[in-house]
Amino acid sequence: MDRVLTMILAGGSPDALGVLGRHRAKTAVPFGGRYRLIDFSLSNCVNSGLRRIYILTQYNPRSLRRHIRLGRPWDLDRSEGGVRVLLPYSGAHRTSWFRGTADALIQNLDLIRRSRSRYVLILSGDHIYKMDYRELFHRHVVTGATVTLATRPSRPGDGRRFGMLELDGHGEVRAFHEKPGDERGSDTSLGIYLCEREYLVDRLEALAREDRTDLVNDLIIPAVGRERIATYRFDGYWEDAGDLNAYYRANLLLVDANPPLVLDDPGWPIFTRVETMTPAWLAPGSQATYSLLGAGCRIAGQVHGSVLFPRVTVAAGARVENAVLFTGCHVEEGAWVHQAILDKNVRVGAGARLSGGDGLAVLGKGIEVAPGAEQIGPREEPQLRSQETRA
Amino acid sequence: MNLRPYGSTSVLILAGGRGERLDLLTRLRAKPAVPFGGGFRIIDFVLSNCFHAGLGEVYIITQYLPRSLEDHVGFGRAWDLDRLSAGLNYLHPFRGLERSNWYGGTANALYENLAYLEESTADHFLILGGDHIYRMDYRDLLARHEQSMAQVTVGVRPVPLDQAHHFGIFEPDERGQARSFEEKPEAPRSNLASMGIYAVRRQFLLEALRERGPEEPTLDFGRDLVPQWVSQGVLGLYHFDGYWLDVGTLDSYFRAHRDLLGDEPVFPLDAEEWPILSRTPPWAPLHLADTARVGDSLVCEGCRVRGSVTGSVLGPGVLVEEGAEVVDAIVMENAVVGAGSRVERSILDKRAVVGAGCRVGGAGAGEPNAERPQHLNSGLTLLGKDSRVPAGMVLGRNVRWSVTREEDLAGRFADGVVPDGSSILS
Repeated sequence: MDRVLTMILAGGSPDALGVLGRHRAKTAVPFGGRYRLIDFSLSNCVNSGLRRIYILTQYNPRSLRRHIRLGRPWDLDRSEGGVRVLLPYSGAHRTSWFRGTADALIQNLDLIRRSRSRYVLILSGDHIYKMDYRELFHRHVVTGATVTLATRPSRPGDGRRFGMLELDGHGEVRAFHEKPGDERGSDTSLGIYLCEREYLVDRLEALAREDRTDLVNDLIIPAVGRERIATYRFDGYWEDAGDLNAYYRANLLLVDANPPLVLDDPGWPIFTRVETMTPAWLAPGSQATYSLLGAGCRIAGQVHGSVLFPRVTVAAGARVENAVLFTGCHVEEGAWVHQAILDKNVRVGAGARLSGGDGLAVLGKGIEVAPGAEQIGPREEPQLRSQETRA
Repeated sequence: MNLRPYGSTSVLILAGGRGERLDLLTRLRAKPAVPFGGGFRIIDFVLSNCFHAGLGEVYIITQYLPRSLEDHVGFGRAWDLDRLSAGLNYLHPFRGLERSNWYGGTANALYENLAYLEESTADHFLILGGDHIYRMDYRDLLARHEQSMAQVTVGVRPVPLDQAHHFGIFEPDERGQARSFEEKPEAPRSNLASMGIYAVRRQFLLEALRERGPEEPTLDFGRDLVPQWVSQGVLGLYHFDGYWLDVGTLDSYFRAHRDLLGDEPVFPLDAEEWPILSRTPPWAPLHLADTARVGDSLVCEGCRVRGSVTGSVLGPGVLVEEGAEVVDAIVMENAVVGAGSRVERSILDKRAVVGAGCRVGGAGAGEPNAERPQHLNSGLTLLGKDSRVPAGMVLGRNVRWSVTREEDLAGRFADGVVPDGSSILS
């Protein structure tokens, strides 16, 4: 695997996750009581033996860069290789934001060109899954294809959100339909591409000349029929969390006794930056069940069916049900939080009642819900209005 | 303003002791490497104190079973001690051309490393024990040391008078300075105990070691040097009144864990301004199942709780099966309490596995342990690292158990009952 250079595309539109993506890259959105989305692809890389990784990003990169830093938690602070976050910069032959996935690669083409790696693995940084890229790599080498895509068997609804593939008898791609809207083809593309480096460099140079910017539409799809494109069919859990509802559901699945995504498999650890390792405190009389708790939580009230990140406090008499609470949230005495996602440091005042009703309540960073306030029903409240105390 | 009121300081942490009174817990590791407070190790507290005080040159002096300590501390990454210059290093007994000696005492350990100490350019040495639980800003002590005329400044703290015979005791004069010193006195003249924290001026320490080191292979700070320094009038005291605990005995180790519990714990693990840093393996969040009942307890990440837990501290990765009860216990990393079992007033070392339907320990003092009556008499039961308790067994109080293979029992305890005070070691 030391012949593989990995490019993680992390510049995608954050709009899908609403207020959670307002102030951070989607890849840096917290997930599962401890992690950020990027941890999954990055841990996959490390567990698969990949040690040369670039993360390409441009949207609100601060929290992502703070999270990754030099890559210590992933053992990627290395003398040779390691991880690095790449942002658009001026002084290149052309100064612009990344205008698309291929453009992001083109703007860093010198790195790909001078890498001694024979292969380039291109990933998305915001998918939740555990994949051994060595199996994909093996498939690529055995088939001798120019490009190998990871796929899964198509599911209803995939055609609206993902690329749909028609395969021939050898599992090679016969047709690629990008978000066709219907369920054409047997397989869904997972946005994971392993390419021969020379081929990739050639094509990116051509795209640069033609001023084309999209990896799928301008590079992968035109290659169908001209190059051999093999597939690696993945049958594990894979989630795109493309909107708040999918994101919420993916979190709550984890509290199950036998979750579809196992976070504590010693054979496939998910690494992340750890800020605290203080144990959680469960006070006498507290009731926490069917939930995940991060380090340093302090629970005196009731928690059920929820995912709590580190240092969340739930005071006596408070109830948290079917909710996702990010680091540092406080639920004060007698408050009720239900069907909700609370971004970091949200404070729900004493006796307040907050519920998404038959939908979801999503509160941005640092919002304070006034004591005794009643907010029932779906809502999305951005951080900007956090300073106003709302009755 | 002088940003550094004291000169440069090199830290020497004494971590080579046997810690015999902790019995099974130190059978396979040095005392500073004993887990504490969930995922921490005892040495994390002193290393975190160094980190917060900005001390970046640390030597750890090892001798007894250093491997687990070295695995944990490594080269000090967690405390930002992996540096280009100075940083962290170990001083372990070694073979040399001129001498090849094991360490016979705390000061002898430094004497054996005299050449290294001479190389150091620090103005002061700060000598610390690696086995105390406390938060202390060494900068205060060092500033006081530097400003005083003393060659040596010792951290002192009042202890309960009935415990004083376990400590080195200073008799203070009217200005709070040392009039006399006695190591572990039978009839203590005060309750002012040495915390085993010494700031010593560089030249003074080197000379003291050169003077007495060659003739005294068991040279010890508390027993030999401190009394001499008191009588020479070169030793000052630094009074500390924060939480400080020498977890020297199983009872104090157990009590210290009680001090971590509560809404306002006596010693909070999570002080925002003074966090305890440690090595952090990738644990998943703590999972509480539908059947979990947890109260009055600290539970680490990576645990899976399906049964009930009260008055306990659970290290990372512990599994408590359905119907199991864990009461007033300390359960370390990756231990398992099987379905329907009850574990009470017990310490389970790493990876200890209690099978289904067992009873381990109980309330009350019970019969003291027959082999270790002086160390194990308050009713605590100990399960050693990697030990296994077969399903359905009943272990009494003051039991020492380190059976790692069920075959080793070879038909003993046919009725499945291990009485109070037994020692079953494989």
